Amino acid sequence: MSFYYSFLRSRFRLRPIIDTLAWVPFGIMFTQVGYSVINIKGNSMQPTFNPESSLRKDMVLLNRFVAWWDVTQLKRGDVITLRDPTNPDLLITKRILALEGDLVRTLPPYPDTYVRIPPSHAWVEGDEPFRSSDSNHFGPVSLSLVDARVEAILWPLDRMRVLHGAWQAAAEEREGKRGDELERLIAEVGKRPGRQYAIFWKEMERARGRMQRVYVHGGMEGVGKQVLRQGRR
Amino acid sequence: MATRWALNSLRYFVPSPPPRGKLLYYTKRTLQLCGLVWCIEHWFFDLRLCVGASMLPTMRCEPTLALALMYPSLLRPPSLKLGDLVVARSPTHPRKEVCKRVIGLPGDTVCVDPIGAVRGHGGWEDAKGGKEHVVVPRGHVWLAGDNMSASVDSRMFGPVSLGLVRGKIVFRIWPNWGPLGNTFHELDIDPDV
Repeated sequence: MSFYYSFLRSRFRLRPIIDTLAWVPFGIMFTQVGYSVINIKGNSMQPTFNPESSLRKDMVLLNRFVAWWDVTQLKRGDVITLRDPTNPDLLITKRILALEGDLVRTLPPYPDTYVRIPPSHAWVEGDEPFRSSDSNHFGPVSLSLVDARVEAILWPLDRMRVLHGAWQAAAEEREGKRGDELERLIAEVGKRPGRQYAIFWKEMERARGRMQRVYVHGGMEGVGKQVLRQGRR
Repeated sequence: MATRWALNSLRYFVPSPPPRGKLLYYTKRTLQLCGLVWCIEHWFFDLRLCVGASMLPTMRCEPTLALALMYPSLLRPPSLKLGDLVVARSPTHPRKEVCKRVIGLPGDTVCVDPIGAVRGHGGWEDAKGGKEHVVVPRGHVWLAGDNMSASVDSRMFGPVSLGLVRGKIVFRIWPNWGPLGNTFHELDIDPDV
């Protein structure tokens, strides 16, 4: 073997190659444990990712710290990637609508009209309800299946932004909190008139509409006992 | 001769630190080693400490060191067989891992609670003790501890998605050295006779 080493050494400069290769395991660990960049495939999260107007797949930044360090940091409204419960080799991207203890009014094909989320579980849905296989198909998912939180869209450049704000604010509103998040965002976004403002409010309206089906902490106003007892579709 | 060759090769791949800048060098090497060890323990094999009484008599109550294989392809049916010992992330506690045995593969019909241990205690779907059967959904497995009276497993939290299964335990290193395999045999019984 040392013959081959001396031969290779005389032909190529092996040292820099080996020094670079030594960092590869660390790089792999960093992408699995820290931050990572992936492409989003599919249309289940339109118009947040891959809208019809886009010719390319979106590239997003994932935060994997949240999944192994403290998964309870995830809030309602966060976009997450998780392992599909029915197909463990598939990674799907969905949005958390409800966390443990909440009551959700489900869409078909889920058999029960209302479902209470068990402890340490979440209800995930894609932003595009018609093309999404989400919790309405497989029910609440355990937070242990979460792989990462999507922090920002990195590409294409004209839709580059941090994915934080409108949905989390709408969820807090729904929870009945004073709306500190919303006030802070209005103060921040209000300073940048024009496109940013319009995007924010459009998202806010969409988020408010979607959160109508979620009763945070299981508040039962508006849900008759009759309906709950009947349950099944 | 062979060791001298090995040491010489090692000296080529891992040369001695430079005379100045030793701190940076050792930091670099530590990070690279962490990365290498992480990759091995995430995708090849890992040593696991198992504690608890839920797997008696296979594993004792005291901490047991076991070797687990982590290749993803080994953890999916058909490589994952009925009776394999697996390490899985707990569905109810994301930071904990549980060591249980696979009792049901996707599509199998499993008896939820053969000994009636969770009857009336708010077990999964309020198991009726002995009679209730369930079909394991696609992509999920049914886990059970060997010591059914002291085990929190699929009887409480339902079928576990294969995405949560992290590794397969194959060997026990300490306190007793020996393989920990699959002890299930196919029974050739005609149920109608």
